[in-house]
Amino acid sequence: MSDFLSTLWTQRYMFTAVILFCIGAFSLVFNPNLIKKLIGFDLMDGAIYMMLTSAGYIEGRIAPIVTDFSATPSVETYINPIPTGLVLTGIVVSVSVTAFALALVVRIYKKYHTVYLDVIMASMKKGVD
Amino acid sequence: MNPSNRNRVKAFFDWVDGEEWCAKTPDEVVARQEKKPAHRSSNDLDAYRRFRRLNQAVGALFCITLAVVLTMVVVNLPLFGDPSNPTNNEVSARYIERGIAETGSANLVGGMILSYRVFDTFGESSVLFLAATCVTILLRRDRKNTTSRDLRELHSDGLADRKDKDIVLRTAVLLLLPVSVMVGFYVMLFGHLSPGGGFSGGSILGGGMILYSRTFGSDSVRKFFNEHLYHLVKVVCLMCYGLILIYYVFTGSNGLDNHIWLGIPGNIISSGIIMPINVLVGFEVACTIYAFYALFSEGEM
Repeated sequence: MSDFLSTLWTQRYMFTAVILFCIGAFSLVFNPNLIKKLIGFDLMDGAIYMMLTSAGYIEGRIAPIVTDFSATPSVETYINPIPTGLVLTGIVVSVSVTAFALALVVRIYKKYHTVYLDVIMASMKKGVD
Repeated sequence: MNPSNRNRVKAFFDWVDGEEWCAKTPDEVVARQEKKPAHRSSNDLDAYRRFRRLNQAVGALFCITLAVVLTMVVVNLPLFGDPSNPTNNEVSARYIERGIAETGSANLVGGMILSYRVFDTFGESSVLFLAATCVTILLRRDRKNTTSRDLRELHSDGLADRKDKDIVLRTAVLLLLPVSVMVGFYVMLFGHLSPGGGFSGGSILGGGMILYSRTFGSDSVRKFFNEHLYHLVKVVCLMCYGLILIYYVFTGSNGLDNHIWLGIPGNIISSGIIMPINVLVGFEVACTIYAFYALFSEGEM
């Protein structure tokens, strides 16, 4: 048990990401409010970025920005740059998707005057225009 | 807990849930209530509400299961900060050791995403472009989709002539605006030497434009940045980026000399294609961020 807990402490960033991901997933799938669904979606995005950046970190090494140009940079000095780059790309995509989804919510609100999915579904069943 | 505090707590929860408790006048409340569908208390809706309660219970169970499973996975993943992890393989070693010689960029992450993985980053810029186009299609106000009611609401929200008379805000924004523009350009132009790059610099620049528009009204932004210029900048930036990319990828994949001068690493004018791409992406992102704000708040640029 203490072994498990110490491993969990070593993996604390990924564990935090798991908690965030589950809160986001709950809100994305089971909350009837469309805006809260989107907030949950962004929380899930944040969790993924946290997991990726923590996967690229190496104890005792620095960010991959070279300041000393006299010698060839050594692998022993810098952390892994690949997950950082992937996160950079992911953030832009998440901003785009969030903006697009929010625009759709605005249009839905204009048609049904509510952001609650259950009310919208009731209206749709009745064929209310 | 005394009644007034409870009211306040309830009001806060209502506000979080998006109820219209904050409507300013009784007329506004009535106007908003009129728009609500009349069948809100029908049997159908009750059935949905009951279903929702069950739904929440199942959801909580599902998410706790998911959390337990993912925690088990996390405990068995490679340990945090361990240099012998499988992610730290020959690919990252190559990027670090030969990154400067091959891309000329001191910021190895910037060099990586804008030269080794430039195709991926171009896809990302295209996603942003597409999202901006879709938001424009969905939210832009024109004669066909605007009723007089929309216009009245826009006026009653004070959005149509959004000028803030507050002297503190105006002075603060006037002090802050040059700094934010300067930092935006700095982050964009030094993306190959220091942390930052096109997207972060563009966001700062776009944030400055939003501040300006919020304080001095969107008319004053329209003096130097209108919809025509927005489309022009968006399209031209992405097109130049695409042309640079095609040249770079074509010469590289055919083993040709691409004649791109890498410069001396550490100088401002260095790193070949990375600085121009950073600037192009920065302008595109600044336009897009401001366009998102303008379209969501007023429906026009």
